[in-house]
Amino acid sequence: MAEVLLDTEFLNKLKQLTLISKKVFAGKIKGERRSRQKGASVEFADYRDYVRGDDPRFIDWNMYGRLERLFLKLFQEEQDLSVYILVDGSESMAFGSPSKFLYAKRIAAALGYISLINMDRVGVGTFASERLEYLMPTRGKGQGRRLFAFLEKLEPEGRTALAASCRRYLLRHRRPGVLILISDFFDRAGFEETLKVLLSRNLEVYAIQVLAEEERNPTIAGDLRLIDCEEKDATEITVTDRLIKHYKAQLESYCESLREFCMKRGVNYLAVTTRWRFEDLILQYLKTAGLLK
Amino acid sequence: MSFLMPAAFVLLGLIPVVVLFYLLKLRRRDHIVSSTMFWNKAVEDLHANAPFQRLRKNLLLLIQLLIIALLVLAFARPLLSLAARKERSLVVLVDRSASILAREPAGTRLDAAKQIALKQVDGMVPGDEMMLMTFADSPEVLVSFTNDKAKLKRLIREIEGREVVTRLADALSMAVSLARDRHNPEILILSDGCIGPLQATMPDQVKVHLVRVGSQQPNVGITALDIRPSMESSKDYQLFAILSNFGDQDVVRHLTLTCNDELIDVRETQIPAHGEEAQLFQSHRLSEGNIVLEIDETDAFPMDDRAYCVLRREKSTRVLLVSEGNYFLEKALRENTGIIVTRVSSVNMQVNDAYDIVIFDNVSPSVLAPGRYVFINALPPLDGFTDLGEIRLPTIVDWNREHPLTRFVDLSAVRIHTARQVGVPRSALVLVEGEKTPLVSLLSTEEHRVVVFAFDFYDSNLPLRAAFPILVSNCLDYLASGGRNVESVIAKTGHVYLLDVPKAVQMVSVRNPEGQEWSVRPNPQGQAPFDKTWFTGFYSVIFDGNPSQGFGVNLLDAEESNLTPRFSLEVRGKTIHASTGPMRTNREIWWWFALLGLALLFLEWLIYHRRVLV
Repeated sequence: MAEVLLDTEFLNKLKQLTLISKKVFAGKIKGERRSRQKGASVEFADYRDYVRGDDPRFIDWNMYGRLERLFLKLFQEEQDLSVYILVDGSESMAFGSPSKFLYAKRIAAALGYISLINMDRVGVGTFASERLEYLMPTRGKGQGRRLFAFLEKLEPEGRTALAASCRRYLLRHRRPGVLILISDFFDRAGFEETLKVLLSRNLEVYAIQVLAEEERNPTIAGDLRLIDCEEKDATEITVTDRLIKHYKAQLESYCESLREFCMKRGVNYLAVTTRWRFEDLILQYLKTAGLLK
Repeated sequence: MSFLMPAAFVLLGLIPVVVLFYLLKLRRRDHIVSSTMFWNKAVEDLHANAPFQRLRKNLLLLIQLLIIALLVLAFARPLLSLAARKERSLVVLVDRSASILAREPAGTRLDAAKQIALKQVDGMVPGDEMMLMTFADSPEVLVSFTNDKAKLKRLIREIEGREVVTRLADALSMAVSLARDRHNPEILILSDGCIGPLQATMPDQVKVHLVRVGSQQPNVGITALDIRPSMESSKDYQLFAILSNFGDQDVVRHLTLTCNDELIDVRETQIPAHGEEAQLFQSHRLSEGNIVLEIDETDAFPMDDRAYCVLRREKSTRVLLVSEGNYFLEKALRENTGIIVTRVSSVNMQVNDAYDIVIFDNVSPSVLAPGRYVFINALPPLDGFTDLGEIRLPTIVDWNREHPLTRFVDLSAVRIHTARQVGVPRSALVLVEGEKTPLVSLLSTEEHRVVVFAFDFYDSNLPLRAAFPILVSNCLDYLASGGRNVESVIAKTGHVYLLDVPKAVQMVSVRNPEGQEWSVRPNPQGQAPFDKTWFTGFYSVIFDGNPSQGFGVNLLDAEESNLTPRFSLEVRGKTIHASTGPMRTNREIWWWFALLGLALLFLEWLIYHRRVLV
């Protein structure tokens, strides 16, 4: 039986949060967010000349009194926001205790739920090299259960192919919005191509890198044959302090280059380890990082 | 630490083999990781920096290599030099000869030797016993085997040096004979090693240790001295001295010659490093009395800086030549000063008391009264001398170059036409060895001193050679004085000195420079042998209460004056290496390494099974 990702108490805490989108996108239906489309709302946006057929309720009669010309008041219309949450489903995500995949699914569930209760359109997907599973974008608090059910049944499988998977997903989801990519970014092809694919669409991208504590601070020792869980290739090592030091330096360097790449291209980068308490991550770290408010 | 079987270190070649096996057969445990991309980069990075990184900190490999090293060490049979703790019978031989009295920065070498001997006594364990001996010119047992430490220490502290030469061989032989039947016999020689080659017998069961005392010291000393009348003027005397420099640098020294405390000559001389310088003093002011030659500068070894000599009034030697006439011999005899020669055709042997030396030339008496004789082409009527007929053209095989009679004589060009083939007594000393017969022999008994020439001088070219007058002179000197120079009295420390005593004297007293006095009874020949010539300086002689002329005693030994400590001794082909501290013993400690190796083997097994690291 699949594990319950989020308990009710935690879900109640999430109701107070909102996903922040720094960009303004045109929504599909009226929602609770500002939209690029101007329409009936309380927030004044601009004026334009009245043409026949316009709703006379939005004529600014004060302006008519001063200028004797009819102007129509335009308001910023609040529309729904498309939020895409992509979880890396490759085998490398199964690593760690708790596994990075579980941690990623919980993040996806929490962010998806927050978006749903804010009347955003939420689409969730998972991918690996030959696999792409997704939940069509949906909105409304009532879809939370469906979202959780989808996530709970997912299992990590297959090799990492971030760029190809994202490309395939975006072919099916063309609406602009917020895309949250949750992955360890352990892709031998690199992360650059993936992020470029995402940025080529009108998306506000969040890259959340999830690492297991065992990856950050390995506790292995002795003469080992390390087997890559995805590629199945082996590396023979004799663990020494110096080797661990070099490994950490390599990992750190990789993460740093990812962070730098994201910064330069306006991608919001968040580094997460499974060691952190999940509640602290959502309720504190993501708020501090500017993803939630 | 040393090794009995250093060849075992060849087995260290196993270490690279083990390392190779380890590299080839390294068992690695499979471990699944999310990605090896960072590990690959880390390993590449590390390999670039440290090619043998994989071997480092590998505990099992290190332990295995250590085990091999320990086992190889055990096979090499290491020896540890430890202070001796085994029950043993130890003979301590303390050198008390002249060179051990050389001054060192911290006292004399004898002091250092005593300190080591005292430490050896302190190191005695129950069951040990020690015998204490000293040696110089002769050995002396101070105490036989005992474990009385207080007595041993007291006797060690009381040891005093003597200014005599070293004769270790006698002492070593005595020590070996006394110790060989004891339990674990060992001999400890405390010496500066200024000892010549040894001919002592060294049984295998007796261990001999040499502990060297003293350090390298430069020294300049008088190593030879002689005095005789000048060949040019009968009133002058010549003093001949050799100065030896045993240091590494050339030195300049001032020599002072005094006679009866009156200054005769002062001169400066340069002596090359490790070389000698001969000096000849000639003066008519050298007269009867005490003569001292002194090097002004003092050094670590003062006893060879002064040489002592007593010059006596020349005494005429009366020689009776029984001959039909021998031109060459008579001429050679008369060339010697102080010789009164009387020639007769035949002699009545009852009246020969009037002559010091009688020479029989081609004639032999029927009986021989006590006295000193030379027989030329004739044999003395004494037991052992036999005439075996004539021999033609005998070749001179060899001659004794050290003996006073034949020293400074070159007989290589001497040819003899006819000689007598003679048989000589066993006690006779052959001085010139012919091909089939002794050509010149010497017999010394209590009553007679006889030199026999087995050929007629006219049957040889000897009278025409430069050796002839020297041989005749040596012969007269030797027979008249017993080997001493006729005029001067120079004795060496440690040697027996024969005092010529007037016939009426019953008791001779001799007082040495230290003030010690000994009494000597003269023998029927009118000689008193005095053997306690332990110190350099002038010895005074008293005949029945009447002071007489004394004699001077000198070291005159280059071996003793050379203060360079020796690092080993050769005893009949065996080399004994010197150490500088108390005696130590070797213990095999291979089992320590074997035990440690075993313990490590167990640890390795434990680690392997518990997989502490691997």
